[in-house]
Amino acid sequence: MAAIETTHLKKYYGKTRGIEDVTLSVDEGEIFGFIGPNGAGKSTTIRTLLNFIFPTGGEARVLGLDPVSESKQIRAQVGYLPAEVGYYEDMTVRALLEYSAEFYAMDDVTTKRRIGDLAATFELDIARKAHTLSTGNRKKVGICLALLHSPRLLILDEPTAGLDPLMQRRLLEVLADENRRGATVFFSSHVLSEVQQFCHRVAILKDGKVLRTEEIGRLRTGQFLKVRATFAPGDAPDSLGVPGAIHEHRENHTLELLYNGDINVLIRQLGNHRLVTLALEEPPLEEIFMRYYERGGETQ
Amino acid sequence: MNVLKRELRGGFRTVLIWTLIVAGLNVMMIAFIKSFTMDAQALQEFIKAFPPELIKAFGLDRISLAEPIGYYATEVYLIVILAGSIFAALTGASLLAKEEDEKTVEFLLARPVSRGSVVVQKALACVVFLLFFNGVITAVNLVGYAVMVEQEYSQTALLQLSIAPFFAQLAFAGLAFLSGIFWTRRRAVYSVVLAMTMGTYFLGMVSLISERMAWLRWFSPFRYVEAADIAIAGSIHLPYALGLTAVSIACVGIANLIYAKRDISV
Repeated sequence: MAAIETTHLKKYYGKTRGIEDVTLSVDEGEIFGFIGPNGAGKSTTIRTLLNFIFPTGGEARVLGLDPVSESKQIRAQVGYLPAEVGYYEDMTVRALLEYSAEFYAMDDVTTKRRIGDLAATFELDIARKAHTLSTGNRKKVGICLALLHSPRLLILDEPTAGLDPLMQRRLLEVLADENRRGATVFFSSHVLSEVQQFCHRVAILKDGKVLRTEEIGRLRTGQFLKVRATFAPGDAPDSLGVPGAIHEHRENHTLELLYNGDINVLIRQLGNHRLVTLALEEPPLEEIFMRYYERGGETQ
Repeated sequence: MNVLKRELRGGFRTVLIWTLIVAGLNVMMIAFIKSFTMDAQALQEFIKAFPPELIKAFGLDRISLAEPIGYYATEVYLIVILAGSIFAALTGASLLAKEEDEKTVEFLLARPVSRGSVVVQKALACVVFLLFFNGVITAVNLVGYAVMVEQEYSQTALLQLSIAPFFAQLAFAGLAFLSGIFWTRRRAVYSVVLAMTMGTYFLGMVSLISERMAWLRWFSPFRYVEAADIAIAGSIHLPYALGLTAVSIACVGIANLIYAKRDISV
């Protein structure tokens, strides 16, 4: 069974587009990244799945349940971290966590143990009132709230935003542990490096539409190679003229390009010129995604 | 019922402040009763000099300021019903609106609790607050009168006058609760419900003053628990009290229906 499944999910606020066509399938037990630029519709999709807002069209199932009619059952099994976290400011962190635990009918011993463990992991002072917390600490409280009841599915909206690099790494470790425990992790981000490190698969969202769903490995390898060749003076071509070469750019004696064709053809073509240095590397995901955004996902 | 518990805990200080202020004002007003009842004749003469509209508006054509119950109905009751109704309206309005205004709604609705349950628990919290407020005021009135009033008076009428504002407050709280669905910013909803409370108070006054405008009374919750009527009858008009309660329940019911179907804004 898919943990999350949507088919042509659509949400409009009057005439304003929230999401246009979100079709994705997240398997149980996987770590799934949901990436896109600001305004692409990541939060709208998540808020539709959790029934904060109602879909205008399409279908969705979360843990096999309907987000509209079976929302309460879904939320009993989901840990959610919103992008922007609001708390009851008069409450201490401990009171917030205990209040949350009451909804899941957690017993006192488990609640106390979980709160202690999470506070230690994320170095959180649980005696502090919510209104005294910094942005980073507010985020940490949100993460603890999402994890507290050991949910079957974690839905995290920009979970690392506002955390320092050390805490980001710790969060990713904790999420990996949760995943090993059997939890599915679905998280949105526009920080590609964490998606690259952490996810099994990723869906790319642009203008409210899922452009592609891809395994990280496939997205990274076997498709594009970043080529940087420096030629002897007077022998640098403006273009190699080989099929599969894109984004060719020459500056002085150096030519840069992205290549997704036969490597032997490329090497032969390069050999027609007098090379000084040659570097071949996998392009960072940023470059791959930029092309998706520029070309509406047509590039393969 | 953890939402109810949270509301009661979170809102208790505000409710206590309102209650203590209004109860304090009541004690102060009850303490002045002697100066009004000492020379009844002179007071009646003084009131006769008022414009007839004003006498009518405060019910002084039907009851006497020089009598303990008449004094309560014209002087003290106004404070309780007006301040209490404003308190009820603000409390009712904030219960749902504050969640979206302070962005805590995602915290709340991400938990396994239905929107219907949230609405009912919040409405119950409001009822508990109003019962507490009116319970304290009623106790203060009964004890204050027992200690400070030497003249004879009907304890039943005093009790009824002490309880009556609760029903108007219920209606205001219900209407404000419903308003909180449409205006999700606290400042906006407070303005709306304050205008509604003060507006209907003046509608009630106008309906008393002018025969031609008497029909306006049906639009003012205040007029269903008119102090002079209760003082004369010695009791609350039960159908009116039930009517106000029904308005409140209907508002919560409508709020529930709308809240269950609408997008949550953050």
